[in-house]
Amino acid sequence: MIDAQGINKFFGANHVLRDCDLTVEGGEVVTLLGASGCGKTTLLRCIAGFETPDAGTLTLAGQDVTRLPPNQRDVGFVFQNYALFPHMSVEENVAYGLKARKAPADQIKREVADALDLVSLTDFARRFPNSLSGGQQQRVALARSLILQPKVLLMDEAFNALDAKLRGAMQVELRKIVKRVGITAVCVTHDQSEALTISDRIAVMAEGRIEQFAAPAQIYDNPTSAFVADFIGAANILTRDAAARFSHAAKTLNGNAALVIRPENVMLGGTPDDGVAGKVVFARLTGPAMEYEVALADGTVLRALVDRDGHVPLAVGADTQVAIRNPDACVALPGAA
Amino acid sequence: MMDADVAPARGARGPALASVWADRLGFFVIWTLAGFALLLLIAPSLIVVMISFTETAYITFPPQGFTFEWYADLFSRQQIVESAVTSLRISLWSTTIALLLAVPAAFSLVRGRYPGKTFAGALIVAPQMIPGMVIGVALLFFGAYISFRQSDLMLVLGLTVFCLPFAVRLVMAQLQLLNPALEEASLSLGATKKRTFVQITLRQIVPAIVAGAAFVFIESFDNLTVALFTASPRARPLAVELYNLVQFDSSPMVAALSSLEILLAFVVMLVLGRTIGLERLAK
Amino acid sequence: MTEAFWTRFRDGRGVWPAVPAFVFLAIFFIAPMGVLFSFGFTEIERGQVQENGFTLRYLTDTLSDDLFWWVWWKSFYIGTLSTLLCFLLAYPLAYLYSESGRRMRLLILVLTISPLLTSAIVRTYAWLVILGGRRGVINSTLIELGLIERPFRMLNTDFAVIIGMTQVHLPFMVLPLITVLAARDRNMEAASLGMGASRLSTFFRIVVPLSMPGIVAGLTIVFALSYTNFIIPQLLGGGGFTTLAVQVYEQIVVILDWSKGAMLALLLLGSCFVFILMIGLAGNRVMRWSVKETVE
Repeated sequence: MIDAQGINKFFGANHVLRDCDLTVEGGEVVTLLGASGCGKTTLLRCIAGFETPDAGTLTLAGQDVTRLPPNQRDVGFVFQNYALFPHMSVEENVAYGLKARKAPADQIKREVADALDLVSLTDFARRFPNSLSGGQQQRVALARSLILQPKVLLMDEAFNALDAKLRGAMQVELRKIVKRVGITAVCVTHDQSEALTISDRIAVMAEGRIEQFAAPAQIYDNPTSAFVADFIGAANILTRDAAARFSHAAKTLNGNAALVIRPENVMLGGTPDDGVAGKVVFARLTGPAMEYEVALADGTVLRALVDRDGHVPLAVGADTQVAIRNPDACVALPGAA
Repeated sequence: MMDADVAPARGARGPALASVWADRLGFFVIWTLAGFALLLLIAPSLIVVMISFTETAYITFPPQGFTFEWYADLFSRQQIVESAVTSLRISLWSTTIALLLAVPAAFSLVRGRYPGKTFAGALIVAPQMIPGMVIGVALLFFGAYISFRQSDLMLVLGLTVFCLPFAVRLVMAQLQLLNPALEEASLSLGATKKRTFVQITLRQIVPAIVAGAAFVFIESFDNLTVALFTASPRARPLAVELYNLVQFDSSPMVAALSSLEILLAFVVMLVLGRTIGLERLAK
Repeated sequence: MTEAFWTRFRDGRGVWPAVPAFVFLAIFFIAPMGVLFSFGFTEIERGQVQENGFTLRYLTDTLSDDLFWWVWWKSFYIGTLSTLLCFLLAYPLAYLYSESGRRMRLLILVLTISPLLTSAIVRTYAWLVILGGRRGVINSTLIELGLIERPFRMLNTDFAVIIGMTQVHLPFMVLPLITVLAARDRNMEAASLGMGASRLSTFFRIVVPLSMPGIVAGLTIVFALSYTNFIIPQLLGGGGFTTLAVQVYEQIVVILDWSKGAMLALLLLGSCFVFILMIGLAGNRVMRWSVKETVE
């Protein structure tokens, strides 16, 4: 549905997108994930047509749209703060695109009613955006884009303006709506849990490059770089020398430069022969599990997440044995940690 | 956790008694001055309005009785009515021209990207730094240089120069407040550039344009400093007429005319309050 | 209209939407200012520019005239006094605004902005009525109360001019002060009070210094307005009262000596800029803290 090849973009001397390739299948929800300034929003704005790439081609549903202005691309865009027109009612906001297309009045009326029904806002049709809550505003923005049945729906940090609790609920809601409609969607976020909730595939970006583009489980279980490993979930990234202390892991390491060990894969308190001695330097309760930081003799600090079931909490300062629960779940990285 | 023998910091036990009294006295003075300022702002207009209803043939305070006689007198004086019509016509012209120049200029100054933009902005608001009298005198001399006499046209031009900065700044301020995402949203919803400009961009700066029009209109209507030098001696605007009346006529009719101008000011203020809000005007 | 037209208009990408305004100002503002400048150095008779009339006579004559310096001093002292008086009244009012609830704020705004939209003559006229002779508001009230027998002479004095200017220009001082005071960070005051400072010293040592940008803006505007106002001195100062601005008016409109008038206007404008610049420089010195350090 979307095919971006070799996209490059400069802002002055700033090289913000470097050879980005992104292929999105029809009906798929893809998230561009990365820290601020990594180029994810610029890439999204290139797809929308608000920016023109300096190099590369962009195809939407088989049509080359690289140089097409946004109003001829047939894409829906949900803005960070929704960009609802403050001087128009909810109804008028949603009807705006159809009016611009000079659709007949009865069709507009019918489709607006359907769209508001889809996002459960029928009762708010005559209200103005400023009198709506953040969640409601977001649904208006969604309805306003979806009513035009665009080829793709683009969302820029669409949950940023919501408070933490509502955010989680709206992410689930959004995924349901998007899947019900069956639209192809590309979202931008810096929030990994949002990416994991709404996406079929995630593209992790850093410094204008797409570091890894894969399904959420794939990215979590098999990160291809230290950056990705660190960005999605917590990770202990050990250098070759530090990793070599763990006899079970040496096989996985297999001559590579670094080893990624997820905290939940770190086991504390085994017998001395299968582990390495360490000292607890920090402990906290995260809810279902205890999280520890354990310093090894050479100063390497490992994070460990231990299920509380049957676990006797360790105090800060306590000596313990550190071991790897499942060496096969560790990931070896060729580059330096 | 303070050590017992370390002396507490000065004032840690609450301010000394003397400073409580100093506080009270000090703030009494401050509030009194504020009250006096309020009185100074409102009293003159109030007195003028009250006097306009007096039954006496001369100005007196407190006014005696109550009559609309002076308002009737006002409308029976042809010269005053004529000058009011002149002022109205001139103000409408200068408002129209100022806005036609100001709105596009504000767009260019806010959104344009070209070298020398800062300088261009400074140039356009420069007349604001020049007293109205100097603008009037300069135009008068310029007219003499190119054989262009004092006239309605010269007055309109002078007032437009004088008022242009206000209009440009009001529209610029509104443009700077606009969220550019709204225009992008409109485009991504398939609207044309023209539709986007008219329905989203222009529609949102309408309040500033209306406020600018109201402001330029009242400034033109009331203006004396430019008018004294540029207005045609035959068709005097109301401000010049009033200037002469104030000096040579002691009838309460002048108070009645002034009261009507105060009323006009309140109408304009209502327009400003409804469009951009009075707080915004403070900036 | 083509898409390209609207793109350029919307983005204002070019300078061209501003061009009509530039051309207009070039013809009806810049050029006249140039003519005004040249007239100060040209012999003119009956409104006709004389050939080869360049002269420094008007500049040297004016500067060597004792009367000019006396008139200049009068302008300066009236302008300065009324500006300071304006500040003394406006600051407490703006502070009251910042401490008030919605209704009081609206009242203050209405009372501040309405005179701004009322003709200056109307406002000055009110003072003629208030300060006037036997029938003036103040005198008639005092006589009514039996406090005085004969009216005070208040009109046609420096006092009348200063109080008139103060009142007419008060809104221009209040508005910038309201802007800074209403937007100020109140935690500063809480911190000051928390460290044991009294309310009054918090006011003078925290609130006033932090509002310096508004103070400088207000002083600049009001001084410029007072220094160049010729209507109020004429109406409230009486026939013998004169300032530099009044002189400009009289030379041009009454005496019809345009070259002298032009020279006086230039000196008025020039000295006004110098004073404004001095207020600005003094303000910058006091506000060194507000300069953002640029880290390279």
